[in-house]
Amino acid sequence: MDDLERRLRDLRHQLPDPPEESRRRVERAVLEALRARQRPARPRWVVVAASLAIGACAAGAALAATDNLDVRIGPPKEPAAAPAPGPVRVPAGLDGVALVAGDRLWLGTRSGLGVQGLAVSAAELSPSALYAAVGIGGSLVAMAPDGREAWSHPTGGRVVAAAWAPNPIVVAYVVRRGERNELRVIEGNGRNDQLVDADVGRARPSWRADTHAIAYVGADGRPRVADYPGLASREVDAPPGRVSAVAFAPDGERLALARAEGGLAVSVRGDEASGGWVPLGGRRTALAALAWGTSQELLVGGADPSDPSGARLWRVFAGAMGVGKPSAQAPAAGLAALAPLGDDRVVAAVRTGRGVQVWEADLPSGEAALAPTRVLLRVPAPTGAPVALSTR
Amino acid sequence: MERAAGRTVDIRTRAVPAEGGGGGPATARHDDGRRAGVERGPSDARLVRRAQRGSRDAAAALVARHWPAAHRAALGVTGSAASADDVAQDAFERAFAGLAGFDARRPFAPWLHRIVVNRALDLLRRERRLVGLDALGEGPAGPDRGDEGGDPAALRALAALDPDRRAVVVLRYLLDYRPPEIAEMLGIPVGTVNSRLGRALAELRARLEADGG
Repeated sequence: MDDLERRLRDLRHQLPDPPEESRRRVERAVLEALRARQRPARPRWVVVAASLAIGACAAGAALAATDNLDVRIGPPKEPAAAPAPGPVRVPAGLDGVALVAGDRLWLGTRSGLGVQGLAVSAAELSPSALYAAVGIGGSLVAMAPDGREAWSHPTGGRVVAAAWAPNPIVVAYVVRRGERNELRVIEGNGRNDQLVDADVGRARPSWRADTHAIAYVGADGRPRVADYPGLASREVDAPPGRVSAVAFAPDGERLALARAEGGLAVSVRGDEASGGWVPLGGRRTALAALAWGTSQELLVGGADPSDPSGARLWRVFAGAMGVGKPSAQAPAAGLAALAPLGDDRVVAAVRTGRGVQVWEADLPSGEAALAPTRVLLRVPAPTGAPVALSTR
Repeated sequence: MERAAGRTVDIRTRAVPAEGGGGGPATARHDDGRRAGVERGPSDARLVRRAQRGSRDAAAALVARHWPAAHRAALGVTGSAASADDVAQDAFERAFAGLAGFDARRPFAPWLHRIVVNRALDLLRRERRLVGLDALGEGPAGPDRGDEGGDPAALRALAALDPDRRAVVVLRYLLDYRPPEIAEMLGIPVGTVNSRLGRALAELRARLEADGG
């Protein structure tokens, strides 16, 4: 063995140990995969028949105890393959739909981009869904149909959230670096990557309609706004409490804030009718989705783990923030994400017992349940896996 | 083979080698999958059988035993800690999703490493295809800053190799597999493994020389 080969062998001792957090994550995923493959209990007669068969082979059983006999009962153990999800169906009125569930991406656009089951950490469609900004490994990747320019930018960490500006020349993204999350912006051609804030929360940032400001959540849970392209950052004057989500209204002035500490509440800044937090649901209600509707209203999804009757969906009109009852009830399995579709319709990502479904649905009035008019996509995903939806 | 109550009852006697050994390399591997010494605790084969029967403890023990080496293999091939996390996790999920069909008499580590390395190569090829890195004239990403250990020049040189060559170097020198084993894992002839190794070593020598290291 020469010196080079010795150096290469020594590299094994020099590569860093994987973080403990990643081992725990993979252990959870593996146990979930194992649980999903568990067979249901066999009928009693099968157990009896199996017992007889094994009992008739007493000598064999003795051997089996020493692992020298392979006893197999039932059909081959190769698990039945799960039905592969089909391509994403894009509803009328949209240019594209992207769903990230369980760190997998399903994406479809009218411009011809289609992805099914790609391992990603985050994804966000550009205006008109011509591109998708996707976190893959340690890079932010701009994907596009054939013929369009695309790029990849090494980020040095996992991209956990991204937001494409309304003017499609810039992407804001949150990247995990060590123990902190950084908010950065990069131009739409993959160049001029800049740091905005070195310590932020994981919430998805939100661009103002004129692209001259980005709202985000600081590491301390306070809402902040940074100018663009100046990148000067300031805290938003907001009622006390930790903010979990921010969303600029399409009109470009109002900023919705959601708080999930001590129960879900929302506030709208830049609207004289708003003041403090407006509570929605009970003290255990947690935020599931925050989006502006096409009628200038806020769509707020919340879930209470102790309430088996289902997640709740509120339509909050900013001029009348005193909402007492939810406008709709989402399915018991749970609402995970929402996006407006116009004409009182929404696209909703809904957790089911076996995964996540993307629905096209009419916004019900009162407390009627949200129900699909069309199922756009069905995908497998571990229970409780993070879900993110991007539509254009 | 018998049939009982409509279900297949397959009772076979087999000469099963001692646990932890048969069907694979002659030497047992340590808890990180490297060739050396004797396994401590239950053998992989026993853990695999228990996991196939649904034991969560056995599955967790397999993860704890093989995660470090699988992660290092992914890191060696992708050159990125974040990508290594994704690749290694994806490989474990695939391995355990297909565990029911795995023959527990075969060694677990090479099977897992085969999945890890092929997933890592898939990722690198897909990134190139999706974003046209070749056309843009950009090379693969180097190791993440902070990942470099005590021989950064060697790590940089390794990261600069073509992914296919990098994979054989990682399997040969970081995971200690022999060329015939690497050939089986990657589905290529042994001659191709040897030629990739030879070219990779020549390229590494040239890069290290140019780097002053």
